[in-house]
Amino acid sequence: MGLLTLLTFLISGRQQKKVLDAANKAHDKENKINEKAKGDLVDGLTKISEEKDEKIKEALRESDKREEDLKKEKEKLVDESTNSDDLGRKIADLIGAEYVKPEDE
Amino acid sequence: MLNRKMNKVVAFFCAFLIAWTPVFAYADDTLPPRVDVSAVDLGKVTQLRKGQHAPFAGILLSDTAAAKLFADLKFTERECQLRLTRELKINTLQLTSQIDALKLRLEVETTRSTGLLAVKDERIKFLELNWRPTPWYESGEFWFAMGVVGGILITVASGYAISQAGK
Repeated sequence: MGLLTLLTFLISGRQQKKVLDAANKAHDKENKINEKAKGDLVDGLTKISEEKDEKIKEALRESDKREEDLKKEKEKLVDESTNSDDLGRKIADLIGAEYVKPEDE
Repeated sequence: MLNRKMNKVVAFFCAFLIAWTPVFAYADDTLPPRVDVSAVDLGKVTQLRKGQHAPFAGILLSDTAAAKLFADLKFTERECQLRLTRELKINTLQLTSQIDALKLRLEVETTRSTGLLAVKDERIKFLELNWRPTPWYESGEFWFAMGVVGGILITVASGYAISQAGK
């Protein structure tokens, strides 16, 4: 009787071990999948962020260059216009005002 | 009968009133008078040399100030456009980046879910197969024990039989 009981315990114990081993394997697989997803996400987000930063820097550089060019062009216009004889007429045309000649012209 | 005649009279009277009611068009379709643009005073500008009389009262700017004002007026639109373009580009890049990040999240999450579902399916199949232990009478250990017990019993019985035969 004792032998039978012992055998029953052995059988059920072996079965439980098999189920627990399978559960452990499944958990390991799930952990691996989660870790891989986490790694992929971190890598991808880092890459996207770096690319975005680089593109923004490039856009700002380009914009600064254009702004600088425009500023130079504006300064050139100021220099040219300062001694221009028809500056008054140009301003009048630009703002839609009437240009009036000086009295003694 | 009288009622019917009365109705006819009332209907005829109403029709008569409707026909004689004068109908006026209250909507005024004449266009409002147009603004005479030439009458709007847009101001005057003149250019003076030192000592010249000013033809009208106003503000006198030096050549440099006038040139700066002229350049500011001339370049305002382009400067504004430049700033607008820059902001638009930066916003576009940021939003594109956000979209890319969301796409990546979706992709990773989809892959993860698919993997987890596969593992769960596998586990369900395993549990379906092993949801209860093997019946004791089907296991090898049981039959081994039965063999041992049977051997012992046979040995004991044989010993008993031999001892009885000797008597």
